[in-house]
Amino acid sequence: MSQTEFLLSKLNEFWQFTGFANVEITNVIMLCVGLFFIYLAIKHDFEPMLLVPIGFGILIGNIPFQPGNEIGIYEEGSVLNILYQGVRQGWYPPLIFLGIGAMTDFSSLLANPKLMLVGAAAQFGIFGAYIIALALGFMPDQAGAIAIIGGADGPTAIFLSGKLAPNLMGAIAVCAYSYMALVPVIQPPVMRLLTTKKERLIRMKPARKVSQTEKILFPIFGLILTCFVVPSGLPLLGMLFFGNLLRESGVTTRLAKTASNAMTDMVTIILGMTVGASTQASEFLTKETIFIFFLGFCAFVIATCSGVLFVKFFNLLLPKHKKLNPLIGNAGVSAVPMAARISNDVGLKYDPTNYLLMHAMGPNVAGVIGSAVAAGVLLGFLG
Amino acid sequence: MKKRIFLILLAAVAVTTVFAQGRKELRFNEVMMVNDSSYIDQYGQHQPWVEVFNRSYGTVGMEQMFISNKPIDIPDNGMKPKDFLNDYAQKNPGICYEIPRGDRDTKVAPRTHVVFFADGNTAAGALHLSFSLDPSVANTLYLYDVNGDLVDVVNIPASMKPNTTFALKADGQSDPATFNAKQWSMRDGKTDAQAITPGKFNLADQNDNIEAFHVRDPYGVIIAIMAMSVVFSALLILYLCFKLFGKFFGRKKEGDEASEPAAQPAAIAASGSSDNEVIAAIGMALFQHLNAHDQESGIITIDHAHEAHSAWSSKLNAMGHMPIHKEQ
Repeated sequence: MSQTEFLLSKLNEFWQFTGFANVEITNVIMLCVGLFFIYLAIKHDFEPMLLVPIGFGILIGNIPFQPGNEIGIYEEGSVLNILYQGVRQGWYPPLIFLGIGAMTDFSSLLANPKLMLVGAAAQFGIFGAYIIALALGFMPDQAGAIAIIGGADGPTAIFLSGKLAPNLMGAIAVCAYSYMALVPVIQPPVMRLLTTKKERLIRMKPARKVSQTEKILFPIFGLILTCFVVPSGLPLLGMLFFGNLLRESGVTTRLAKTASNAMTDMVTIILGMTVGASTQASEFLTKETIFIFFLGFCAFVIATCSGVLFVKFFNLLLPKHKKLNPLIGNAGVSAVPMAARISNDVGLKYDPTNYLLMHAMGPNVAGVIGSAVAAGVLLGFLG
Repeated sequence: MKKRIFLILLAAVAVTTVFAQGRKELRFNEVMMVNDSSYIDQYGQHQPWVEVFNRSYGTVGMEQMFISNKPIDIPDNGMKPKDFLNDYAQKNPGICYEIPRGDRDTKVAPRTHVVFFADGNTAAGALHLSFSLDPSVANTLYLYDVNGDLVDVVNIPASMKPNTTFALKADGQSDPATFNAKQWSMRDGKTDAQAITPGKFNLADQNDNIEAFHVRDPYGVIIAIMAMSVVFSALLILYLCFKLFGKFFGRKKEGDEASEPAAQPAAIAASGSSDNEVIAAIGMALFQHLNAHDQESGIITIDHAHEAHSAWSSKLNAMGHMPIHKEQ
């Protein structure tokens, strides 16, 4: 073999390893999806903390390569695969929940505990989507994993889909986060459709001041009471309430700060990136993904409807001076704090002095607990 | 230093104990006596094989364990069981095989299988037994731990058809050191339920819950009602609990306030101003207070001192210190 032939053969070998030689149209489509996510995040400020890592993860996951060199996220031993284990085995979502617990102030819920029931009602979005998913031909475990999108809680969706339908997890996570970013588009028309102008003008009683003792007792009793009912929700609920106790105890400020800032940021970065990278074209561009996006939309709409309608129903049982504004019903879908902000914004359009934000935070944080409980229930039934 | 050595020894003992406990969790799982077109070894040869399953959740090293086709009586003559078995295996390779040390293949990962070939050719590797099995007669295989404890036993029926296996109905689900024929079945590989599964699970991974819900609740209504009931119950309990707490702490707070000296009477209410105005005033005051330093320019500048003197010419530095009067 001459020197030139040798060089040409090596160049040809190198060419075979490049992305250009291995690219397929599906890779290109997925790269466009990733770029679109990054565009939405940077240009339109749609959940940038999530969409930037996910979008870039999609780019990473869809760079074409020759398998077998321990590069890809699904190749055992690769760096991406090691990071992906946190998603696959469900380590990251409970860590995120620890941060959420350390960030969340449950005062608005404790000041008006009946708002917990609004958070529970909105979880019907999950089970409504479950029924539709079964009708579309999904198996119960897949239907459960998809339906949890209705909980509007990314970590919960990743946790449950990782357990029930790992092959659908990428699509479910992307769908959940996409719809969470689109809450300002999806929810207001539904809220307006289901409420009268008179109802939108209801002014709620200002919340009472919650004592520090109550705030400290909440995570302790919350954990015991919910996890005795749904032990399968322990990884999520346990970490959520633990994080909240760190915050409210007053003696672990440093730990609460770390949990809510540095640790959550680190986990969010790795979680977002690996979830994005898991959406390899071969796994993502399927008929199921289209169904998942349709079901996710249904779940959000049903959850919003059920939250708003439940408040309307609840008002029938409440005395006149304690009536709730049905516009806070949408906040029960979790999506903290976006959904609560929507309640406030829609309320302000009809009465510029009627601030619903703090009232809506009650069902909003109750929704976090509700969706974790619902995930635990589904895991208990179908796991 | 002594403490460190003690800790290392303690760790070594703990690791040894864990491995020893793990070895008790090994089970014969599937056996093929006549193999002419089924599983092949690393040389592409069809050999009879014996599958062992690690049913524990930890990696188990099988080195220095023994597989034999006859029961071994360990004499009580003061000789260590390990030494006796080692000696026995060397003298009777047609009966007993000692799994060699240092081979990665004999470390069995949690909930996985390892396949030994009963071809009497130990030169082919650590997974090749030193004896072969006669398919025309019934055979019994024994698995001994390094200390001579019997870990598992299987009675293989005579005259098994080619490419059929004798397998546990569910992986690892057998009594330790005893053979129970009810736990085993013949497999011919013709259906999924009868699949030949060397190195894989005998029982396909299936979730009975999912199957049950798929059949009994095809529309998902039952699970939706049950699950929503559970979600509501959990949050209803929380609601009731914290409603009570709220009442209790609310009253306590009222009591505390009542016991305090009376603050200024509701001057605001008396002044006739509406609540909204008061809230707006308080809000503005808080805003002013909290945002007093929020609008910094972000530009850091160096302000040069205009004094012409330096440390050398400074009058302050040039002056002597006041003398200190020392008491005698």
